[in-house]
Amino acid sequence: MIVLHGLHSDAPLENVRQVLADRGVPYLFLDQTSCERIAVEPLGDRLALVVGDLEVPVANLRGVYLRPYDLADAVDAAEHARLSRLTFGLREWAEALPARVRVVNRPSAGLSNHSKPRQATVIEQAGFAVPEALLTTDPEAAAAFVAEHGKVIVKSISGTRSIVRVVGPDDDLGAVRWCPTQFQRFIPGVEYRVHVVGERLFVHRVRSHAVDYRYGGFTLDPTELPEPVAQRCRALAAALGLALAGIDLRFGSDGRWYCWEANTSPAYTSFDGPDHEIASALADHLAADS
Amino acid sequence: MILVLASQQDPGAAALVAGWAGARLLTPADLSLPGWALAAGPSSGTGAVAARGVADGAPFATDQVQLLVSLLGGVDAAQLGWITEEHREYVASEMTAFLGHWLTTLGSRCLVAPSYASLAGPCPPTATWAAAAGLPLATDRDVDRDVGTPRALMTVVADRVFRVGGSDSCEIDDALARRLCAMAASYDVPLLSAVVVRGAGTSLPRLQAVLPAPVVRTAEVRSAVRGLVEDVLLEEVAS
Repeated sequence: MIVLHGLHSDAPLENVRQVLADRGVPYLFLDQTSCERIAVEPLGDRLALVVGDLEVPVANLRGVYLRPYDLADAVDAAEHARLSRLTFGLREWAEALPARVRVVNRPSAGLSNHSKPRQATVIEQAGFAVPEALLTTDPEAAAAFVAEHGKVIVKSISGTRSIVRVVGPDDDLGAVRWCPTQFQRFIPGVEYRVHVVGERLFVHRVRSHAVDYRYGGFTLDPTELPEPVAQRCRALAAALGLALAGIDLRFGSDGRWYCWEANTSPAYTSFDGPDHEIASALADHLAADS
Repeated sequence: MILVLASQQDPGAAALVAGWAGARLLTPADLSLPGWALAAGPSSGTGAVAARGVADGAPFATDQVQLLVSLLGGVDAAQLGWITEEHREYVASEMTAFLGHWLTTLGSRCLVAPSYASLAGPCPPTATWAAAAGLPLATDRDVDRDVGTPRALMTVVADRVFRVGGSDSCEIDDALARRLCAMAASYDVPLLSAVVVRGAGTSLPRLQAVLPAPVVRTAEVRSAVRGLVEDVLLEEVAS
């Protein structure tokens, strides 16, 4: 049995559900828009997932894939509170499942990119280069960093999505006094996106003229990584406890492989081919014997 | 210098540092002052920027920090009144992420190491804590405040347990105190707060939650925290 939680309209989750359905693999889809009879209930010192009046037996579970959304604007306050409790309960339930159950991803592991510089220490230990960076509320220190490196990018410290942008010596950096801000030396080079699913890698070269390709036009070319770099990607995902990761790499013009971050809940569908190789690999992973 | 990281709206934290020689309060308000600088990446620790920060409005060098006690699970956007409303959620996330990294760089100088989920310690599922304590989990009926189930907010400080909130009708006995201490010790955490409830007709109290950050509302628990910190610092000197 595979448990899926989220929305049918969420392509990364729905594509895995479709693969499981096509293969006849038993799954339970916990639809956020229709989950009145689903609850996580305490039984002694453990939590049980209950559907209707029946507990989902952990002994029959092989995998769990959680991709819930905050439906704050789509439902009334009472329903939002109920869904929030259910999502929290499912996270606690999934976190406590035995190691043989493949959870994509364990909620605790999914938090690692909530602090990018903290995750970067693990990235560096996995063998990737990371750029020099400064976290500061001091406009003078920020200006000195920009002056030292010439071309610098500014990006969020947390997992909150922000548009990466370039700053230079002429930019006004006074606003950093209100909030710690991350500056990184700009690394020229070639961009890659790597999706790790268990031991399998799906690699794309990203071609874009934008500093942040997500906010500029881009094209993708499937490709391969040198084996030592591929191994580093697997090692990084393992070190972070991630069965599924979206890793952002750049092959710098200095000949070094840089890694920006490992996304712990990647919306991989833009990178998936017409045969849904990534979704299929994810279904393989969820259904495999541990 | 001892730093106490807490919300500026936590009166227990303010009382903890009041009159405590060498202790300073560090709040999210200090993260909206110029003076923080922390190198990350390959230059961290070796670059031109020495790590420095601001606590209680005054600058400090990270090297001065002997021990940090965190009473803050994360920065709450609602408490950032000096930030324009549209930016509060973002700034709160950034401050929390910054603190998460900075605390990690302090290493053993944090009394309790932060986790990805909390700046004040580990956050395993409540079921995991309950199993470590040998306590059942609270049910939805227990948690329903309208039912009026007796509950108590307890803070564990090393091998002692203090009631810091809740109803007097929720009895705290030695057996429960031992279970809570064992629970904290299972994660090597010398300071945490938990909520327990006593349902009707049950011999064992139930564990409702372990809070993301400890609560130091009473003079007794604050005195115990100061004693714990002094013991830790003495042990470091001795070793």
